[in-house]
Amino acid sequence: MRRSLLPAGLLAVLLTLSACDAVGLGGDGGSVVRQDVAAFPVQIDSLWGFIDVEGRLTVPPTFDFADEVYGDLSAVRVGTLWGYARPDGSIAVEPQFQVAGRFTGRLAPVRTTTDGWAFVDPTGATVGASGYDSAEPFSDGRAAVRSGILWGYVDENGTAVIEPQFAAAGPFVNGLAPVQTADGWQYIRQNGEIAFGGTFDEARPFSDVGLAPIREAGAEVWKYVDASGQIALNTTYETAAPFTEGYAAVRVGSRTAFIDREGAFLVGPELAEAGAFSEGLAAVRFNSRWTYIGREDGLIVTSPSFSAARPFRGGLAQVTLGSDDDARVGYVDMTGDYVWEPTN
Amino acid sequence: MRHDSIRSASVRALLLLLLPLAAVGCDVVGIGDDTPDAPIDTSERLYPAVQGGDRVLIDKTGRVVVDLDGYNGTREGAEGLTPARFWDNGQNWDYYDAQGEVAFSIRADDAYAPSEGLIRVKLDNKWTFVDTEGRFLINPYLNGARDFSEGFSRVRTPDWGYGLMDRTGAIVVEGEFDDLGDMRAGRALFEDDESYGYIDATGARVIEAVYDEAREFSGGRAAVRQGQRWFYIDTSDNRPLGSTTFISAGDYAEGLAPVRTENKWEYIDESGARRVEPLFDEARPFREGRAAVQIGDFWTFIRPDGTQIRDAEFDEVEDFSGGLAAVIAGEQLGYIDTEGAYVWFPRD
Repeated sequence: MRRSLLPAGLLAVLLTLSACDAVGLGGDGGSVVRQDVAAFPVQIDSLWGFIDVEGRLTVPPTFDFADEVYGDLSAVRVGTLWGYARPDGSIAVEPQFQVAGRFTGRLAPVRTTTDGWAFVDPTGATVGASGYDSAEPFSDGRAAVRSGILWGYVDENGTAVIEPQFAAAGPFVNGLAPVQTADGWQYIRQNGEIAFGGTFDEARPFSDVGLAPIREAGAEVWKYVDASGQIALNTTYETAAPFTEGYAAVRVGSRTAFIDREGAFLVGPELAEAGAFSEGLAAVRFNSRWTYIGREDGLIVTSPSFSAARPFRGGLAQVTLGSDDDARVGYVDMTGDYVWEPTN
Repeated sequence: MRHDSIRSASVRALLLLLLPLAAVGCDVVGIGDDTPDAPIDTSERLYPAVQGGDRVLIDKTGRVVVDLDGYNGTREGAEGLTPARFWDNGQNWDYYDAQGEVAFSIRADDAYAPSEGLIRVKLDNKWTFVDTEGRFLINPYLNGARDFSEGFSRVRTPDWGYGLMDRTGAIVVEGEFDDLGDMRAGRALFEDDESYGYIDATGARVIEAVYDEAREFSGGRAAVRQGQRWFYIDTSDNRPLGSTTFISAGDYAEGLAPVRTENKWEYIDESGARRVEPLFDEARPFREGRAAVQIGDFWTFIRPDGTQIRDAEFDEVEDFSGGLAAVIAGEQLGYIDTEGAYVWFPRD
C-alpha cells in the first residue's frame, strides 16, 4: 500500500481530496472532477520551466525547482528560498521562505525565515497568526496547525477555530476530519466538536462518497465507517485507503484491489501498489513499474513504464523515468501518450 | 517435463537468430512447448528475414515489403500480423499487417503473434493480452500466460498456481497442478506428482493421472506412456490402436503420426498402418501437407506419401505456415515453398 496511507504522509491523499473540494463537488459524491491547471512544471538541464496542457514550452527553464500549480500559483525555489510564480513565469511572491506549500485553499502554508510557519495569501501577505511549529495545506476550508506537540485547525481567514489539542490531525473532507485524542482516533466537525469515534486505533480521511477507513480498537483489520459513525461495509481489509471518485484501494491477500462503495471489486487483488483516483485515472503498479488504470473498466491505459506516477491534474499526469541522478520527468495525457517526453 | 525429441530446439534456435536476446519462448519450460494441433493459419502475412545485415519483412513471394532499419528484433507472425521490436524509452513493438502498414504499437518487454485474435505480451515481467488493435483485455498481473487455444489460455496466477482463462479474462479453472497444458480437443494435460492426466474445460479430471508421461491431444488422440512403452488414447481414454505400443510416439496431425518402433522414425495412419517407411532420425507432425524430418545431421520435408520435397540439407527448419517454411543453412535464414523451391535464398 502506498506510504501516503501513513499518517506521516497524509499529504498526498489530502491534496487529492482537497483539490476536488476546491472546485466543488456535487452532493452525490464519487464523481470525476477535472481540474483547471494552466501550467505544468518541467525540468530542462536541471532548471524548471512550464508547459501548457498541449505540451508547448510556455516558460523557459528559470527556477531551481517548480511545484505543480495550485490556485494559479506554483511554489518555486530560487537558490535556497521559496516564493510563488504565476503560470506565465512571472513572480507573484518574491522568494523569501524556507518552505512554500500549495494553494489548495485561499491561503498557503509557508515556513518563514524568522517566525516559524504561517499562512500567506496570493500576494504573499501573511494572514492570521504566525509562529506555528508546523502547518498543513487547506482542505475543506480548514488547515491543520501544530503548536508544540499539539495540533489544531485554522480557517481561511487564518483564525484559529479549533484550539491545539490533538496528537495528530488529518484533513477535513465532507465536513469531517480524523484526529488523535487521548481516547484514540475520533472524527471532529469543522466547529471542533466530536462527531463520533473514540473506539478506533487508527482513522483516515473521509471522502466524497461519505466513507472513511478505520481500524477498531484492538483489531488488525480495516473497515469503513459512514458519516454517522456506523460500520458501512461488512468486509475487512488488511489495509484500506480513503475513497476518491467512488473507488478505494484496499489490501486483500497481500495484494491491492479497488472497491466501489458497495465493496464490489473494480479491480481484483492483482496489484502490488496503487494510488488514488483523480480525473478518472489511478496510478497502479503490478510489479516494478507504474502505469494508470481507467475508472470505467479498471484496465490499464498504457503499458507500465514509469518509476513514479503522480495523480492526474488538469488532464495530465507527471511521470518519472529512471531514478536518482538519472530521473527524468515527463507528462502523459489520459491515454498514456507523452505530451512532454521525459527530460531532466 | 520434457517430451521426446519430436520437436527439437530448432524453433528456438531460429527465433534466437531473428531475435538475438534472451527470453524466447514460453514463460516456463513445461507441458505444451509445441503446438502441433493449433489451427492451420494460412493468413497472408509478412515474414522476418535478413538482407545485407538489416532486418526486413518479406511477403510469401520473397519481395521485400518493409525495411526494418532501426529495429532490433522480430518474431514470427500469425493471423496477418508480424511483430517487430524497437527501442524508445523502453522496448516497443510494431505489429505489421500483410500490406506492410503498422496496425498498432505497444510498449512491451516481450510480444507475440496473435492466436485466436488475442496477443500475449509481457509488461514489467507480468503477462497480459491485447486484441489485434492493441486494446488491453486484462491488466498485466499474470505470472505466466500461453497463447489461446480453443478459447482458453493456460495461465499462472499471482500465487503461481496454474489455471485456464477464458476470452473474457475470467479464470475459469484454477487448480493444484504441478503443471498444466493447453486446451486441445476439450482436454488439457495436467501433471500431478509426476503422473499425467487430463482435465476438461470445467476443471474435472476426466482422465485420471495414470500416465508416466503424456502429450497434449492432437488430431483427436494423445500419445501417452506407461512404463517403457507409448501408445495412443482418445478423449474418452480408450485405445484406438488396441494393444499396439511404441518406443516413441509423436502427435497425430492431418491423419498421420510419427512413431518409432526401432531406431528410425516412421509415419502411421489412424488405423496404425505404416504409411511412410522408418527412415528418419527425427520426425515432426505434418503441417500444411508437409512434415519436417531429419536424416543424419540434416533436415528436409516429406509429403504424405513419403517423398522428399528436396534433399536433406538444412541445419534447422521451422514447420510450414502460410505456405512457407523457414530454413537455416550455414547459420543463414531462408524460406522455401511447399515444393522445396527457395522463395528467399539463405543470406546474411
